[in-house]
Amino acid sequence: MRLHRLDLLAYGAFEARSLDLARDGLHVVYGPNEAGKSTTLRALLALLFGVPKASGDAFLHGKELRVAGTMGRDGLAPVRVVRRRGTTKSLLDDAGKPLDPGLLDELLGGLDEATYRACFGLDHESLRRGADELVRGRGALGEALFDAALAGSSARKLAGELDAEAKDIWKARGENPALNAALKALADARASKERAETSAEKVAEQRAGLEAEEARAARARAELERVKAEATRLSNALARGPEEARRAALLAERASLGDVPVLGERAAEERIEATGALREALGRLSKLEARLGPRHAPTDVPTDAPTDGDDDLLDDADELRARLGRHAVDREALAAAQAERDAARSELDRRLRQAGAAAAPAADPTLEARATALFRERAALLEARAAAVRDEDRARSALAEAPDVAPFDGDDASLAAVAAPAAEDVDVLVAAVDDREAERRTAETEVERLKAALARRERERRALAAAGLPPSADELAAARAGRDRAIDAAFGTGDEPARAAARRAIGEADALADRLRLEADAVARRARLDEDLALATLDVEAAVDAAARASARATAARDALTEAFAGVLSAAATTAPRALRAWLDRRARRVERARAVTRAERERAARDAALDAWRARFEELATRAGLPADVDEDEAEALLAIRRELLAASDRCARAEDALAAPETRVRAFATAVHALADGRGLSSQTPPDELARALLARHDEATRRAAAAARDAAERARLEADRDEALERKARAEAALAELLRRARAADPDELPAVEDRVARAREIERDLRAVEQRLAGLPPADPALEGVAREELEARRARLELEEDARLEELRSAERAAGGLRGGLAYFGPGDAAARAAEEAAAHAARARELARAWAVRTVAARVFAGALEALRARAEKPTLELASGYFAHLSGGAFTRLRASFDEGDEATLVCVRADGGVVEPTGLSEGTRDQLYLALRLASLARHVEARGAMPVLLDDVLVHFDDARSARALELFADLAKRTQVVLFTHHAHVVQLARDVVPEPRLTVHALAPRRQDVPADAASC
Amino acid sequence: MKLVHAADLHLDSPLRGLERYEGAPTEAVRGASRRAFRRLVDLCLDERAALLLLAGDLFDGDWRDYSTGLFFLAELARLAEAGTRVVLVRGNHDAQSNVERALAFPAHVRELSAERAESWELDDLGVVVHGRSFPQRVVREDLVRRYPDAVPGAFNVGLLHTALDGREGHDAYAPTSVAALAAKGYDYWALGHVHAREVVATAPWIVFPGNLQGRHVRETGPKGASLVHVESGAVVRVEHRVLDVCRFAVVDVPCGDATSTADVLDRATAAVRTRLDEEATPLLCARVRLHVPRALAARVTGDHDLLVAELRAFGAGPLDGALYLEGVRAVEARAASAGGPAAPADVGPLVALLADAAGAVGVAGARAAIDDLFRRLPADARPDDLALDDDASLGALLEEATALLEARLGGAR
Repeated sequence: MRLHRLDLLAYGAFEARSLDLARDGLHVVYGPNEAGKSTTLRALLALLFGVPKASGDAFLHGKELRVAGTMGRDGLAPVRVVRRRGTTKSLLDDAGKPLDPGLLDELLGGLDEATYRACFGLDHESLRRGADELVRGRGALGEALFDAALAGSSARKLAGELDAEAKDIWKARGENPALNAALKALADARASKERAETSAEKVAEQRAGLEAEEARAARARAELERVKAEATRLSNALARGPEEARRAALLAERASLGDVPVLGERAAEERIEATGALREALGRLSKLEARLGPRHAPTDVPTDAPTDGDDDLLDDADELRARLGRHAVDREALAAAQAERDAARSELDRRLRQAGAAAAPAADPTLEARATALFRERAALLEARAAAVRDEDRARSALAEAPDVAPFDGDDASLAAVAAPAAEDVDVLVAAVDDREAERRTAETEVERLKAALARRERERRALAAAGLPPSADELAAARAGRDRAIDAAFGTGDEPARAAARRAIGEADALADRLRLEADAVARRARLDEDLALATLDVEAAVDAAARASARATAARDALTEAFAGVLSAAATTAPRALRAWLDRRARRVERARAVTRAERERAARDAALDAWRARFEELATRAGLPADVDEDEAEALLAIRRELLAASDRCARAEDALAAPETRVRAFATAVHALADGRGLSSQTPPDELARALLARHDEATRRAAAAARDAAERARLEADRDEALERKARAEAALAELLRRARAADPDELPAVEDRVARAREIERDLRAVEQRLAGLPPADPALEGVAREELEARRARLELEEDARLEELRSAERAAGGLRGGLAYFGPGDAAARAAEEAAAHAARARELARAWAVRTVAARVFAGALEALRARAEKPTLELASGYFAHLSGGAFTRLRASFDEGDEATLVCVRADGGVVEPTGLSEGTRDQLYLALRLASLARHVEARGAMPVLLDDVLVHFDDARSARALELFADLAKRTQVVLFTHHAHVVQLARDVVPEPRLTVHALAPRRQDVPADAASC
Repeated sequence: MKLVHAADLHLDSPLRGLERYEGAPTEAVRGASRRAFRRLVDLCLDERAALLLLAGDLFDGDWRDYSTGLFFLAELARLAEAGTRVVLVRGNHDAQSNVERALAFPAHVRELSAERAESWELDDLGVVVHGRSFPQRVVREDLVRRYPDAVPGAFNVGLLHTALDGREGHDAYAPTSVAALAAKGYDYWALGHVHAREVVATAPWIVFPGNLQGRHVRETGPKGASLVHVESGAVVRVEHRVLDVCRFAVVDVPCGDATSTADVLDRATAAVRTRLDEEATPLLCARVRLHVPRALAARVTGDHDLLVAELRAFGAGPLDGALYLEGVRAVEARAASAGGPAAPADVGPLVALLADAAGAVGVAGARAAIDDLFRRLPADARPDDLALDDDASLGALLEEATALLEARLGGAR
């Protein structure tokens, strides 16, 4: 593929520029720094592969960014395309109609941009990097040629990656790789499953064991039953013998007792009870008769027995006893009240005598109370006045220490009368003055700063003018107008001078246009400076105005302050704001203290007036209370106190009199009642009432005691008579019971009864024993005929043997049951748990992972083997022709210092690359200088490119300042090789350096070289460079 | 009267191919075979089934855990309470099951003999079940020939574990034919062994109910049992009842118009979502098969790990755990080298040599390359589609390796 033309329609800073690349041979694109060389290279790549999304080349044209080109290859018609920004429909024709995005794919052979740049682009950095790779690869021949062919070591990296990935998955003796770990986890999960399994065979075995043990137990149980039955048979035979002998003996004894009367089991007890009851009844009868006999006589009635209607008895003795007690209390209370009354009277008399007539209480008792209140009020008034006097003294002291308000020399009233503004207003005014002053200073500073800036710009403008001012747009317009006129004149007249003038005018206009373009920066700078100068002048003017306004505001603020202080200026004798502010503070403090003195004086005068008013009220009261006319306040207060004491003594006398009345009434009432009771009972009426009452109560108590003794005697006799009747009844019952016992025992005398009772009791025991024997015999199996006649000793011996056998059978049974129980418990332990199933699931999951990993390992391992084979084949195929070509290139580049390259073999029998000097010496790449290594790599790259072109057709090769590290001689030889390669394919060399262009001109014949200059400055453009 | 017919329970057999990964719904697939069997018992109870027919392979032959048998008995005990009787035969998998041999079946469960075909007459139901258990794992004879004749007047059921006349993926055990079955005059043939549901015939009814629960990605689709409605001594309807707790599926994703891995991923997630809706299952265990164009095959192969990670995240996130990703396969990737776009200039010669290099390595070289590992791998850790003795799988491995190289060399551009 060849690129015939590149049109930078609107790309980066370019607009409507073109590179004609159709000519055969080496193309050198030259541009100094900032001329757009790199932009042109990017534009070329953008044309082929699209504009990068984040392209920095759209800063000027934005969405209108366009690059166009014409390209073609042998056998295909040239293609003209326009590329714009965007991910879709970015490929257009000249009319802006979208083209098939794959249109260029065939021309580019399916290359993407990265591959293209890696294979067909070469700059000084990649050249140096490739040379370094040669050293790192220790000159391995295959690698060197192959890397050069592949423009890098990606293939070698891929081989390493595959190997590393496979090892990350599995190593033969590894633990950590993923598959090793998965297989370990799988094995662990399997082991867990086996541990969790309940073996079916084990269960079956245990179940069979259980059945065997149960069968053994059943057999043992049956044997045991048999042995027990036989033992029981023998035991029965042994048990019946003694019982039957006992029964015979009892029957014989019962017969020996003969006819036995029928007596109850309690016959003996009944006999004893009846005999004892009879004896006791007789004894009791005897004693009662003895006690009742003498009391039947009427003379036995006591003489002091109480009689109905005894005169000594009182109806309400208890009431009399209670009143007698209260009477004693009343008498004592009466005596105490009389003593109290006498003492109060004596005290009153004594005080009256002491006080004299003046102290006699007033007729109006309320006067005393009023007088008391009046003297209490007097104390409060005196205290308040003393406090007012103290306050007045303190205020005067403070005034004496008040600040000096010099030079003012008037009194305090005059000072207070001075007209002064409020302190807050003063503060506001002072602050306003300060602020306005600050503004003024700031404005003046800004004016100075802006003036300095203006001066700086004026200096720059002068410097620009001194360097020659670039043309202005007006000058260009004027030039164009002149050109047009000249053209009109020339083509209008056909005059040769006019045509020459027209040519000059055209040339001048073009030159001016070129200057405008080339000196765009200076033009822009001039315009910017002009604009800045104008703006700075305006700024200075505005700042001067602002400073003037700030100064005026400061003056106005100061005037306002002076006006506010007009009233106090004479008194304070200053116009300084802060001194005025301080004088005003001192004045305020002094005026305030003078006002405090005035307030204290008023308070003290008020207290004096209150005392005067009180004295008037006192004099009026003294007159009404009849106090002496010349009595003073303290004496009056003492008299009033005495009067209060007399009144208290008089009150106590009255209360003592009142306390006598109640006890006297009760004492008299008691005497009257006692005499009424004693009347008619033979007692003296002269006896004091309390003694009389006690005599009446003594006689009443004696009469009461006599009546109680008579009642007790009557009750005792009635009880004795009832006891006698009961004893007679019990005697009769005992006699009847004895008679019944004799009848049943068929006896005549009670003394015979014990013997009869003994016989009856024995006969009863025999009957009971017989029943027990019969019962035991009934509980035994019937007599076994087979054992009849067998001796007891023989039976016992047999039974002893059976007992031993029974123990053995029992032990066998227990052993079998224990074994069966254990097995049964073991079987019950098994359940439907899913632990093994879960472990199996775990194992399945690990197995799944292991399968995936094994597959991935296999793919990579086989891929590595395939890749190694492909690499080897490629090396073998590419090595010889490429090596021959590179060998010639390297000899040329080294200027004959080296004659060729050849293959060698290292210790590992790997082919390596070595360089052969002109003298036949061999040098490995590691032994080369840095510059020679660059040449070696360049030779290899050029050789592989030439081989590629030979095999797959032409493709533009882009070389970007690739000769930066080469001296002129080496550069010249390299340029010869580039020109040689350009015979096979298109080669475009981009360079910043004019000497490279010159070298190219020197070594490449003109028909084979095209130089394209980007934005050339007059002095830099190499001669004959094609302009674009 | 209703009968329930199921087969191939493979109790406690774990699900295969489900690798654990972060976000995988592992709890949802735990004990899947047990839960499916519990659903079967629930179905019998809900439908008041008179009889449960189990046509073999209740357990795996190499399964040794007796707890599984106890679980089986415990579930059957629920049927005893409801009066549902159970009849079963052993198949190839449980012919020699130690677990089954150790079980003592209760009175309502009847295991038919392995020595000879026998009949269980259920007079109260008017049903006779004929059948024979596998005496050993491999049975090559036609067992049906010795089955008893139909009992006149009764509803005759034949219980048989068989591959019939051959079914793909199943060993041809107890071979027989539809004609042979029909000739017996039974009313219903309850078959087992084939894991895919199939109604082989309706006169008489010959039915494979399929297994209860799919166990790996080759057992796809809804799984369950057959509910047989019998009226007046004849089958009137056979329903398939879905009982599985999760479902395996292969989700084919056409990506013919995709131009990038992102496109492929978009199509894959959409296809999975659609399949999930179609299957109406709470959990889809899916293998995603990407049908990618040749131009994209190498890139998809190179991005395989990325695609797997994204699809797993899709299952755990947007699908809220309803997807268990079994694996991802790019179907057309292996053909990429045959006609893909021209390789880049730098690697073009190399790519052109890959096919030759692969040929040079050959099946023997591939076998030798992986021999060291694959001989050490336990059987269940060996990939299903790759074996040392399978030349076809080794050839496919070579193609996949070549595709990977193309993808990597493309990525190296």
